[in-house]
Amino acid sequence: MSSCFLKVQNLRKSYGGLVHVLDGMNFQMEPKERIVVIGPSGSGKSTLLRCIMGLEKIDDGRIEFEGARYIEAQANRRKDNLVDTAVRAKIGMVFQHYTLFPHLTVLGNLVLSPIRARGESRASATERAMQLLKRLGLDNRANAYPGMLSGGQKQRVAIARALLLDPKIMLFDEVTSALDPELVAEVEGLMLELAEQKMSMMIVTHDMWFAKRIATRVIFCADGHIVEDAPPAKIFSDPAEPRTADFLKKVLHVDTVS
Amino acid sequence: MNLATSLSFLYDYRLALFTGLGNTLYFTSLGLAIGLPLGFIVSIIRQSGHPILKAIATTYVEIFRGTPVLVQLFWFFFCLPALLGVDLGNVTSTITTLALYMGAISSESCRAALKSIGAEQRDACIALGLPARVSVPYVILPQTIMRAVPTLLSNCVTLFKESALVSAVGMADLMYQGQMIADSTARPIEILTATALIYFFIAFSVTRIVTYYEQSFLKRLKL
Ligand SMILES: Nc1ncnc2c1ncn2[C@@H]1O[C@H](COP(=O)(O)OP(=O)(O)O)[C@@H](O)[C@H]1O
Ligand SMILES: [Mg+2]
Repeated sequence: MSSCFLKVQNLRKSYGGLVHVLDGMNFQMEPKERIVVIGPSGSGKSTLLRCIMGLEKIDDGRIEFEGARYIEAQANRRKDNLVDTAVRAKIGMVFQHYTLFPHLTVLGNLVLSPIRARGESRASATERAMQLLKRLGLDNRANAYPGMLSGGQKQRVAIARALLLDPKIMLFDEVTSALDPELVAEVEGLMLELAEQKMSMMIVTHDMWFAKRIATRVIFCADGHIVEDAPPAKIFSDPAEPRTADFLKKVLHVDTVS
Repeated sequence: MNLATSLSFLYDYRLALFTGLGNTLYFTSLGLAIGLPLGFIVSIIRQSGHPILKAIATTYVEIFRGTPVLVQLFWFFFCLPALLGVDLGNVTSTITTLALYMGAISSESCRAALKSIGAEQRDACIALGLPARVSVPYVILPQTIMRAVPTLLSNCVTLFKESALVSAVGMADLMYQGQMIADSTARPIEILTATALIYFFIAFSVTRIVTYYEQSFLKRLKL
């Protein structure tokens, strides 16, 4: 067993057993890489991230994390995956629609899991949460309810909530897609800050300029396969695969990102 | 007929009216105390239960929502003893009917509230590593209850008003007392107006509480 950071092997996933949304996907990731996943809508980008987070049952294949077994499909028992929840705890995910808990304050959202699931004392969790909120310029919103925040603030709180659990890797699924254009920058800015701090990340985004800026590696997916896997400088200026070039032309309305 | 004599006439019968109101509140609150938890349990069975339990729960809910409460009262009072030889007595059969009716209508409210907690909230719980022993009491239940409260309170008002029907099986509730006084004194106008006002005053207060709760609380949280 090789001990790479994240290893996805022969990952297959279908909804209702018909079309394979992920049709035998393979890739590896090293620590501190920032992989941006691009591809047409419906190509399985969200599904890939959701499988890695352990939100979906996989049909076949396995996922290893830090050299340890994490998720494995069981032969003959399609409904039953082996999932190591201790490994899952090292992975954080942020969703398109924030998914904050609306009945809890910002602070309440942050400290729920540290206190109730990890047994941290309220005092210590609150202190860490307030420090983090302060760093993000959100400490004055600690006692606000999510319904009172702007979309950008909500998404930054969602990121903070995941960060407070000290993840080894963060998964971002189109986290700016639901935001008004003028609020995108504050969330992308925060992600760039995390990049500076060498956080390992997998990011699904339609914002190719942001992808170019944050990625150390870009994966282009279509039909449940990885079509191309290359550094951003290469894929955006000189894609090897015609399908990649086609896709980029469509989303950019120009030939390359300059 | 002037106001002073009307009021003094009503004043003479205040005791009978208040006894009736007491009985109305007694039947209603027992109906609520049994019906609300029943509704909650039935909603959970209907969402995630065994197929046979689910079919039984669904049949129960549809029958009680689809028939008049008066028919249900008569059925438990007259038919149950004749068919099964079980005579509950009029008080027990009345409370049973109200509780079963309340259970049926409030199970629908709970079911809608449970459904409205999206899959995304459950995903967030998993991503944050919350086991069910945390996510159910701290995330799912509070949101379900907050969302169900307005409709459940409206159900309470409905039950309170429908409870006037128990006078038809001889229960001495507010409606029954009003009717008796009206018949024996031949002065229905004052007494039935007063009865209506008492029902209205209580139902209206609860409805205002619902509106206040929705506007101040749910809107603020954007729930
Ligand atoms: N819960 C689901 N049930 C059935 N089909 C689904 C479900 N989630 C996604 N799909 C289907 O799987 C395919 C891939 O979806 P998704 O991973 O969301 O794509 P992407 O994020 O790349 O747009 C789509 O065709 C979508 O309709
Ligand atoms: Mg998606």
